[in-house]
Amino acid sequence: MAGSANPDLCGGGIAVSTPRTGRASTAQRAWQSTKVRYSCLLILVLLLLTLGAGWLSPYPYDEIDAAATFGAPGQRYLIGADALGRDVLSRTLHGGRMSLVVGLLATLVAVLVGVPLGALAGYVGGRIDWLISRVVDLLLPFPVILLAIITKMLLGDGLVSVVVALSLVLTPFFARMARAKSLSVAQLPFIEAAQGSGLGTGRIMWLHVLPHCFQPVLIMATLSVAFAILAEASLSFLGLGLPPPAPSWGGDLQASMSAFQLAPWTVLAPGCAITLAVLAFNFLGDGLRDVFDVGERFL
Amino acid sequence: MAHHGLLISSGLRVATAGGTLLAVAAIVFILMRFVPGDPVLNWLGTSYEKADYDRLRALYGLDLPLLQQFMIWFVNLLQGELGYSVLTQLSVSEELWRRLPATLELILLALAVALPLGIGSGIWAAWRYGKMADHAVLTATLLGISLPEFFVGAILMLGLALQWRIFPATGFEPFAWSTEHFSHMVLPALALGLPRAAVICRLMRGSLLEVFGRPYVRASLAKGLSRKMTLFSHGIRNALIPVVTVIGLQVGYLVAGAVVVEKLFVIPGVGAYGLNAVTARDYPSVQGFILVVAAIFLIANLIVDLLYLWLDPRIRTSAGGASR
Repeated sequence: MAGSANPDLCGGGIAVSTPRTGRASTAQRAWQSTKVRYSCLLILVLLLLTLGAGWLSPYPYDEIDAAATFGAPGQRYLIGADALGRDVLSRTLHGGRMSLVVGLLATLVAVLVGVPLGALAGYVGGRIDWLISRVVDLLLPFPVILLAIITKMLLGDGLVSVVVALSLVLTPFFARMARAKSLSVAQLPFIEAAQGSGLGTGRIMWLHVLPHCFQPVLIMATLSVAFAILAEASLSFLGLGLPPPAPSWGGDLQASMSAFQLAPWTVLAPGCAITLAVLAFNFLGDGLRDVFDVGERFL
Repeated sequence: MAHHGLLISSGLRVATAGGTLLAVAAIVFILMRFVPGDPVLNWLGTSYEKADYDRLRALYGLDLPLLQQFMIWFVNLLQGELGYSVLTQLSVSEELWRRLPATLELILLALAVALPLGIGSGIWAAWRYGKMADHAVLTATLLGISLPEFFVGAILMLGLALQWRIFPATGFEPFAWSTEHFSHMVLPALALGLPRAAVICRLMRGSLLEVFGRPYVRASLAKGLSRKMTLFSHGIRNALIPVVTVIGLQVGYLVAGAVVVEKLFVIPGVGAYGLNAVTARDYPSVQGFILVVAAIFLIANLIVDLLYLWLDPRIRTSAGGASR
């Protein structure tokens, strides 16, 4: 393997070498970290705000008010109005729903597909490993934008094509990590013991291999939600996401760029929202890594 | 022997990259045939004569069997010819060739921002591990990896172009060694480069801290080398190995980010062309765009792989070429 460094999506290398502990104690250990607690709180608030956008936003996101074009932040529009006089706050809340749903969904698909495939490749080896590894190698370097263009052309404008493109980008990362992890686990004596006691491949993988992937997968999943939100925003900015009337952070920001100087709130609101959401998940990933990854240093 | 191995693995990598590009070309061609919608209809609009429609389909070879279309396209591709745009009737390869320098320059300038800044600040943070400087760098980079390129660009534009008028906000000047040209490239390069610098910085810091835990670092300190000498003689070079691997992947983000930045700053590069082609469902142009982007990406990764061979002699074996 040339890429023995095991790089993750957007941070330092994941080198989890802690002994196996139960899931309950993992959660307890994580919860003791201030970083983890604060970022979880922030994510919860963001989820409540965006998923509850329908009830929380003061106006419908597509209500046009010609008299309020580029209305400044004030009593009527809390953080201003956009070019069509639509309430920026309502659009930002609704746009967030799309971003968070896409981010979580794409990551979920990538975990559910990538981790079992990677673990299987690492544990079983042989031809299955060869096949899975080649597919991973082929998909891994593909820039998101190319996959997004292809899925958009094949599947049309919609949530599905964005989620499929992002899952395709994320899956190889999870597969590669799970493969590396299960490859090292497969060497350990207790796997031999399990094989000796007559357990089948499926049960050994479920009971003894996959649990070892849990911590690194959790960290990578958190970071990949951040990545997916960022990527969704970029795709919407390029017009490769949902088509215009639908609110989206990237798309709204793009539409407002020409009026940036005149009405900065139209750009700053979605921009800050993206940053905050991505920051929350990156912060959680950082916190989890601090908890699980304890190394020794001499210098 | 070592040089021989280096030559073999280098050759293998060049061949693999070439093979991958051809595979991508074939996959893209096949996928494009499954795209719903008819490009000729798209171009003709709603009212047209059936004869015109048939003539146009014949002109673009769209009436031929699929395999024959592929053969024609493939032979042309090998000659560097990517067909003609259904939308503008212009040669796709000429148009992409004309636009390529702006995109490549943007990517190279962004790397010139990201590499020194990222690696430098990463070393500094690891050196000051746990101190104020480390925390400051970590906070700044956490923000850096959470900001999309277009928002970084938008903020820079608001501050340095609209508010203080130091740099032009948008627009493009063809390449020349002039301040006029480069003043237009500063903000785009920063918008593209700064988020990458944050990623590289975090990687460099993490990698260096890992190296600090290795036995050879302890040995170096034990034989009496100073901390600074150890950092420069053993630390940085070893820490760079994983960072270089990831820079290859980062180039993928740079290529995608370049499309975003080109749109934000209205730079007539490859990205703007690709986006127009996608909206117009202009097959030949989309195919050409995807191939050019994939080629940039594969060549960048090839360079990174060769650099990696030079940095890490352990993988100069003949088996080294197999994995990518």
